[in-house]
Amino acid sequence: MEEVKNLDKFDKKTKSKVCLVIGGNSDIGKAISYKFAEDGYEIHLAGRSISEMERTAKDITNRYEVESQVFDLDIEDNASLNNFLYSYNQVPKIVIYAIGYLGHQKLAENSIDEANRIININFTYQIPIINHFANLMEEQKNGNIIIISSVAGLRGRATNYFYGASKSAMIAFASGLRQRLSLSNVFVMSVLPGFIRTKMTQDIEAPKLFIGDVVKVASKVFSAFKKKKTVLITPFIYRLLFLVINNLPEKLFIKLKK
Amino acid sequence: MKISGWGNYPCIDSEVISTNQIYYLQDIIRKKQSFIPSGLLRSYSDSSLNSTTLSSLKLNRILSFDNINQAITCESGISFQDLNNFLIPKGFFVPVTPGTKFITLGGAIASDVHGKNHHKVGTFGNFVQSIRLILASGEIIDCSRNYNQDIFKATISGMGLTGFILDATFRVQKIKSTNFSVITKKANSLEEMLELFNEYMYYDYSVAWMDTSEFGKSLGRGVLILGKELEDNSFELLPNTKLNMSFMFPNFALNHITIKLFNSLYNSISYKKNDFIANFDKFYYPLDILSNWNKIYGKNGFVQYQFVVPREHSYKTIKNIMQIMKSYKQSSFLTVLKFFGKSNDFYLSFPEEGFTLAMDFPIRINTFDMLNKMDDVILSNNGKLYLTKDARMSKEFFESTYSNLNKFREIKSIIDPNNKFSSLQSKRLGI
Ligand SMILES: Cc1cc2nc3c(=O)[nH]c(=O)nc-3n(C[C@H](O)[C@H](O)[C@H](O)COP(=O)(O)OP(=O)(O)OC[C@H]3O[C@@H](n4cnc5c(N)ncnc54)[C@H](O)[C@@H]3O)c2cc1C
Ligand SMILES: NC(=O)c1ccc[n+]([C@@H]2O[C@H](COP(=O)([O-])OP(=O)(O)OC[C@H]3O[C@@H](n4cnc5c(N)ncnc54)[C@H](OP(=O)(O)O)[C@@H]3O)[C@@H](O)[C@H]2O)c1
Repeated sequence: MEEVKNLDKFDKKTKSKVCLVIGGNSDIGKAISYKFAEDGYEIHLAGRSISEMERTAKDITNRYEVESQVFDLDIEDNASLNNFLYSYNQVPKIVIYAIGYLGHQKLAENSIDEANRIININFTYQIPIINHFANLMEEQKNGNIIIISSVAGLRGRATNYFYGASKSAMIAFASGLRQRLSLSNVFVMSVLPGFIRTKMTQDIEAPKLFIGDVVKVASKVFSAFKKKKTVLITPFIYRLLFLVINNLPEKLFIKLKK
Repeated sequence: MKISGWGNYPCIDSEVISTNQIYYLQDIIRKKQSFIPSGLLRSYSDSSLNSTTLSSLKLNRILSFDNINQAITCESGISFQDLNNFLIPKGFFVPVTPGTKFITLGGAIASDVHGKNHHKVGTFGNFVQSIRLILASGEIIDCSRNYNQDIFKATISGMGLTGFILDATFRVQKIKSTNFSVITKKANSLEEMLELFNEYMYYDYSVAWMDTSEFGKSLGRGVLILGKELEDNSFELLPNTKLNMSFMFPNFALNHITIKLFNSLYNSISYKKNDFIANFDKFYYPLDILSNWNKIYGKNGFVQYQFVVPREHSYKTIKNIMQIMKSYKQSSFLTVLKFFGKSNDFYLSFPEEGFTLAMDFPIRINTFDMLNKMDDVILSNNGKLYLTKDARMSKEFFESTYSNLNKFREIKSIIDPNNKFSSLQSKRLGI
């Protein structure tokens, strides 16, 4: 990964009301962006499903009378990633990181490709983008970063620990970044959603009680953001659940497999 | 997942596929053998039921709005409630709306719905300029009056059988207010009622509620409701206050007596005042205040029987129908009469010039028997039944009442030769 050198043509001033979503076709990212659009933010969507994002961008502009733009970004493609960082020459007020890949646990256990894919998409390949905007925001002493991780990162489980581990890495990363940037007036928020019904989970069954609604999650994220809440676990029931799970002795936890 | 139309009959197990990713939807359509698009399931029975349903509800984006040409382009899953919340502050409204706002754009097109202004402007389909359709092959095509015209004419009113409506462009109406001046006229008999319709034809909006518990001299008595949009430049959205009836009443709750009571009450109380101002929500959507009112019919569900007959046959047809109802000791909880203007050229469109009557019947042992009898009357008076309300008409009856059916079948056989788009209704009727 090369550093983006050409910073001269950068619009170094923080754009007053721009919200950039990395993973602009993600259901959760999209839903949150609607909240910010409603609040008057210009919305930028970056991702790999251009035609979908274009339709979403039009909807946002029509409904909330704010500008919207779409940017091509596939983080598994180095050229695409570099091109995005190079061509996206501004510093938004808010960046939301919503890219994620659940992957296939069983496959990953025997395939290093799948294992890497999970770890890279959820963590490694996102780091250059987070770094990029973090540094610019630090310089400006202005900006906000929302990183979507997962409650799966709170404790590794047999059924999804590749995913969980990558999300765990992101939780630690965000926490460190928050400490660092707190000195520069840059706010870093970690969002740890529980099970939310989105296209990532469309074929997975779960008890009704534990299924979160994406629009409600977005509202929670938005209001927590306004209150400068640093770590948000949502829906609420997952706070209770993980209070228990996180305090289970390992010996007992092992037996809870599944 | 168990699903059913508004009448809760039939209730079937269906795999409901709901996605906001167009490529994924195309993929499903390419791979699966039999399915039907669905919206908010406000059609009454089996029009949007199949073992697999493709729900449009996650596709609800507004793709463009042109206030100069008064045209809007939206994905098909957008609801009329959502649409009007968007349009009203800009001084616009959907051009035609049915009696509930909880329907989708896709459903409005596929059923070619009508509203209280049909005698003036026709159906919703008249305002549709173009449609983007996902065909059985997975291919996405455009159709309009100028391009793929046959597909366009088959898709509007086509009950989801030509393809999945992805998005559509339609003309909206400019409004000067969200308030209506409403005038009500009481009719003491059917004759009076039909005359009142005639006399007040110049009103933009008209509909009548009929009391079906009365026979003899007062047969057909009811209230004609006339409306005219105000010009007071007030554009108000309403907060969503709703009474919920989301529990099922026991089956016996709505027997003959309660219906009778309801109807008399309705006649005496609701319209003491002759003229009043009503906001659009009350005017267009009086029933939406009670969510799930369909549940009062209990688990067995109910059917709606809506027919249209030419004006010259209206009086005797309605009278005959009421008599049949009486002989079966049934009565309709909700009975709506309306005059339709000219028909259009969409192949399976329902409205024809004449009177249309819609009645609700709880499903009992003799209900279907009664409806078969009614069919004979409708058939001999050159009438037809509304597909989106139908639960039980026969193939023969359908074939002899929908005159453009063959044109529809011809297009269908070209764009969907394996009948992948099919509903329980289309199988029943051989559409
Ligand atoms: C209280 C009430 C009052 C009503 N009043 C009126 C009225 O005044 N006038 C009137 O005309 N109708 C009226 N209706 C009927 C209603 O307007 C129609 O049944 C309408 O089609 C329902 O829309 P929906 O979104 O619920 O569609 P559904 O019921 O889910 O589907 C209806 C049909 O549309 C097709 N369809 C839905 N979405 C798509 C799509 N994306 N692509 C292709 N096909 C699709 C389905 O396959 C099905 O054949 C009323 C219904 C109720 C419950
Ligand atoms: N849903 C849940 O239950 C849940 C729970 C906890 C955490 N999360 C996290 O929430 C975030 C959003 O997920 P979601 O639920 O909204 O699911 P989603 O709609 O599937 O979002 C995931 C997004 O990641 C994008 N993506 C994957 N690989 C990419 C790549 N190489 N380049 C660019 N984009 C890529 C996908 O792009 P395409 O749209 O183009 O495929 C998709 O938009 C993810 O980080 C997820 O891990 C979700």
